[in-house]
Amino acid sequence: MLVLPEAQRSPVTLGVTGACCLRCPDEPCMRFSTVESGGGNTIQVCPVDAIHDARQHAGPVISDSCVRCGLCVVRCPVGALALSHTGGVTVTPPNAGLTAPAGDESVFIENLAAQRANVDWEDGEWAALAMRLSEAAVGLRQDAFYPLVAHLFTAAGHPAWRPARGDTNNRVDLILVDDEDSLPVEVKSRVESAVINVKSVQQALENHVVMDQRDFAATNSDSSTLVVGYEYPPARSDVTELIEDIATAFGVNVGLISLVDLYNLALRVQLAGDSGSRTVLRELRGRLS
Amino acid sequence: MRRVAPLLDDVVIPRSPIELGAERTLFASTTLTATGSSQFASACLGCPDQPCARFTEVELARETSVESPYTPDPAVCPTYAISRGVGGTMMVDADNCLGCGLCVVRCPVGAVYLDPYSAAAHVERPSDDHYERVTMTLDEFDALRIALAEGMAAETVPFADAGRLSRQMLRAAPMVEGAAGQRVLRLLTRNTFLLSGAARLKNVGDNNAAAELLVDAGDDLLVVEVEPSTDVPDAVRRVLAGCAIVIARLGANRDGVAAAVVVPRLPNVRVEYYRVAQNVYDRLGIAVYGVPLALLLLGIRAGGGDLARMLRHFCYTDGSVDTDAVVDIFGDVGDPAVVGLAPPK
Repeated sequence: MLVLPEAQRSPVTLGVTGACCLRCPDEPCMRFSTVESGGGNTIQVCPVDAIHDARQHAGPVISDSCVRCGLCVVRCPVGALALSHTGGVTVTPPNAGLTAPAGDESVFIENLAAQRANVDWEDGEWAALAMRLSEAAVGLRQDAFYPLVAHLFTAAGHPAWRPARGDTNNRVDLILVDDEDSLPVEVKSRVESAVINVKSVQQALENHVVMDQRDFAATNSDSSTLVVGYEYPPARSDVTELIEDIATAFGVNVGLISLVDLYNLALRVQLAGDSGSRTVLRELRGRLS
Repeated sequence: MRRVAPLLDDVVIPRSPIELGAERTLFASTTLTATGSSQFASACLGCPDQPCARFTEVELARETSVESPYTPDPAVCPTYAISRGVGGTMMVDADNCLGCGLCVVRCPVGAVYLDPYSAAAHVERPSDDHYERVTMTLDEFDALRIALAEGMAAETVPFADAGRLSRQMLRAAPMVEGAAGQRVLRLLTRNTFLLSGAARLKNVGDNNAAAELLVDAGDDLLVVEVEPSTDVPDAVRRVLAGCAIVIARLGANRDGVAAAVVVPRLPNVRVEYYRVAQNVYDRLGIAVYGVPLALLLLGIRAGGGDLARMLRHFCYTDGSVDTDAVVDIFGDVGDPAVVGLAPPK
């Protein structure tokens, strides 16, 4: 009989703590499940491929390229991964008494999910955690920021596909894939623009037009086209006015999501078992919050 | 696929006299009167209001800001190459001359012409053999200029001149390309549309969120963007945002709004730009026309007025060009792709 460690909240480790690595068969710290990935190939969790297979080692190994996004930490169901204030991600290695049993993975995974749901989060902690994690992404360039945004969407229950670079037919940064209602996402890292700007809104409108007219994803003409950036523009600005103008003129909604808000969506799904509502994204116009 | 406007019956260079402001008397007492010239209607009169170099306040009043007041640049010349010289007559700095012909069609008495070889503008200077220096009042000057202008009114000009257009392109294209050319191309575009009394221009809203120009072309509104680089897809996005603002804030009918992107040369037909433009037309109903520099130059020669309708007549959103329509309007200007009226093959 497998004994799981008791879950505790810890602001230091950003999750449950007190456990060692269980060498989970489904490796949630490394890849999303088939269901989470939208049914196709499993999507890796780490945006910069900095976490590696534990099978040959004594637990997962984090390389120097880690950008401290916290995704693997919040994915670990037992808190064996921790994000310290001073350094990167630390791993509590497995010990002989606690390993995942072979053969009965479904029960094991169910137990992990229950374990995760037991964590008792207080009001305001979401915001603080999301804020702290997003601050780590302040200096990320496109090659790390874009996959981070993609994987956060996947973590939030909206599997995201990144079209290959140089595909002129499909220049949308990200597509939240769906059988009927795929949503395009324009991504701007903070290095490119401190706040979401007019240019990204213009690009989002073009994304909507191109997605609607070309055949690379099933779309709904009424659905929003999204922009993710590091921060929102001011409440009354050219950006917000242009979004209203586009809605009035063309009936197209442009939705804005800051990185903090995207973290909030992902954390709720990952740590509190929310299901990740698509309606919010599909009908979003202007800021998410 | 596209909208069609009526063909122009004739291409006529308008030579309507321009009113002199009563308060402008600076050079009126020292102007010159023509005694005849076989080639030119007149030498430079040194007009006090300098129509070849400056738009009047009345003309510029058509250009107004929707959101914030600003002072429009009165310059006719996109490179500020024409100015008043010694003796009160105008002169052109040939090194900076675009060869666009704006000053040529603005001169009320035909004293400015494009050099047939270099395509640079030249001002016919008065010579003592043919001109006589007289002193006259402002009213007398006004009457003289109107008489001279009427003498050359409704002159029909042949457009079948591929050589001239090619030489103009050779001169002008390098000066409107790249970041340095942006301001020049913008002023050239504005002035080409401003040339026509039919076009009403506006600077729409904020610079960050608006199109460069808004042309009121009769039934339709034309939102115009200027793009001096080859990165034209960005311009489609910008002009589309301009259309949204025009429709939402000015209450324009979506069916009556079209867009134009002014470029030094049209991109190759295989580039993404045309596919995006076609997608935009199919999804949003906004036709985005690529307007090459060569079309502006022909538009200037035709007085500018019907440029908005012209481009609609032979530009397709997919980048192809109706060659027959080009010939109908401008005469035989040669291979449209070679002179820059169509995308390169």
